[in-house]
Order: sequence, then C-alpha cells, then structure tokens
Amino acid sequence: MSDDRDDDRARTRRRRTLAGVYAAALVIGYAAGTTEFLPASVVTGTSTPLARVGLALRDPGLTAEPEAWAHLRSDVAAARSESKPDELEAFDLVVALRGLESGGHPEWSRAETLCRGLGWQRCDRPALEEIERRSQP
Amino acid sequence: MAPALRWFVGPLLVAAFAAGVGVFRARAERGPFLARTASLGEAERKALEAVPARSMANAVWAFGPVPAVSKAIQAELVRLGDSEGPVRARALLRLCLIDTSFDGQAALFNAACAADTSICDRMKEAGEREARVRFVAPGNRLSLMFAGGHPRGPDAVQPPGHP
Repeated sequence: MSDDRDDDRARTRRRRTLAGVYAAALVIGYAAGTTEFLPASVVTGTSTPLARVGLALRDPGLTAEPEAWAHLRSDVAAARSESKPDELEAFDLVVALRGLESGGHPEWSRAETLCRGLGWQRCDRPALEEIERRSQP
Repeated sequence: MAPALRWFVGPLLVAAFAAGVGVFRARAERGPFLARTASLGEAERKALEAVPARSMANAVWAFGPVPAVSKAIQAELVRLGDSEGPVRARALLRLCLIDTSFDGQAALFNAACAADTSICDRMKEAGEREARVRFVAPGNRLSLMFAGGHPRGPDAVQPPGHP
C-alpha cells in the first residue's frame, strides 16, 4: 500500500520535472530565436544594416510599423559606425532629412542645426527640402 | 516512449520549434526593411549598401561647399572602384564642374567620358544635368569648356562609331 503511494509520488515528480524541462526548452528556444543569441545571419539572412538603411533611403514610400522603425534606428547606428569621421555630419543630415530615426518623418529643426554645423551656404527650409529631394539616389 | 526520446530529443525538438517561431517573429518585427533585403544576391546587396554614400554625395552636391563636395566625390570614387560606369562618370563630371582650371576640367571630362562613353558626344547635356541639381556656386553653371568642346588627349576613349 505504502509502496504504491511512493511509486505514485515518484511518477508525479517525474512528470512534473519532465513538464518543467519541456517548458524550459520552449522558453529558451523562443528567447534564442528572438534575441541576438543565435548568429545574426539566422534572422537577417544576407541582409546587412547598411543594406537596410540603403533600402529606406532608396524607397521613401515604405510603410512600416513602429517596431520596424525602432530596428532601423539601430541599423542607422551600425551604418554610422562604419562611416568615416569626416562624413558623419553629412550622414546625420541625410538621416534627419529622410526621417530614418523618426518613423520616416523629416526632423527639420535637427537637420537645420546639422546643416549650420556643416557651414553650408544655405540651411533654410526650402534648401533643406531640396537637399531631402536630392538625397534620393 | 524511450527515456532518451522523452528527456532529450523531445525537449530539443521543442526548443528548435520555439526558436523557429522566435526567428519568424524577430523577422516580422523588422518589417519591410528586412523582408526586402534578407534574400538578396551579392550584387543587389552591394548596390543597396552603396545607396547611403550616394545619398550623401547627392546632398553635398546640392548645397555643400567645394571642399566637402571634393571629399564626398573622392570617397564615392574610391568606393565605386571601376564598376558602375555611369555613376563614376557622374561623379567625375561633378568634379569637372567645380574645377577651376581648363586643363583640369578637360582631364576630368576625359575620365568621365572613359567611364561612360555615352556622354562623350553629349558633353553639354551631361554637364547641364549635373549643374541643374547644384544650387550654389561654383558648379551650378557650365564653364566655357562645355560650350566649346573639350580637347581630346591622345589616350582619350572614343565612343563606338566616333570618327
């Protein structure tokens, strides 16, 4: 009688442990898929941050969810880190004008500040709008 | 079920499935920026990777001062190498438009012509196209060289069918 009860308890404990192992596998697997634990190429394929920034600049009409824009911000940071130091301000100007860090909406006042920092002859709104148009390859 | 299957293979399969779901979700979160670049061939990817530099060069060309323009174009030329003839020719034409010496302009135009032979006989047209998208001097007007034609050096590339 008591042996039967012990067996039942042991079986129940094993079942719970097994359920825990499966739950842990589920959580760990999902976390590995969504975070940067797996090699980047598993998630991104042949895409690179610079290519994604290039796409956003080439196709200004792209509509994307806020999460996608948030990821693009980190791509911009990665692309920025690959730029030469003397190109950074011009890169930032293009990024601000094309709204790559603001959901696709141009950041006019930031762009004006950057433009003045570059010492360009004209940084008024019509000039910035023209630069925005011209920055489309 | 064998204990090895239940305790090791089963959890591994579950973890792999969950990782697949996680990867799918991570891709979906990145939206069209990843979806449209994830399976590009090398040439297409390289072309997209060149876009930021080209955007910068175009922006600088529109309103930037001469030193910034020269630096941006030279960086673009280094990046381009010998590929993409028309883009290279456009960059050289821009340098030609801001060059102050007649000889320098002629040499740069010859180099542009070598990079893209289609502009050799349409020098003025090609120059005007670039001058039109520059809004500050110098470079927003054609020099006399464009009106009178450029002197051809002995090694200048002749377009097909050119006498």
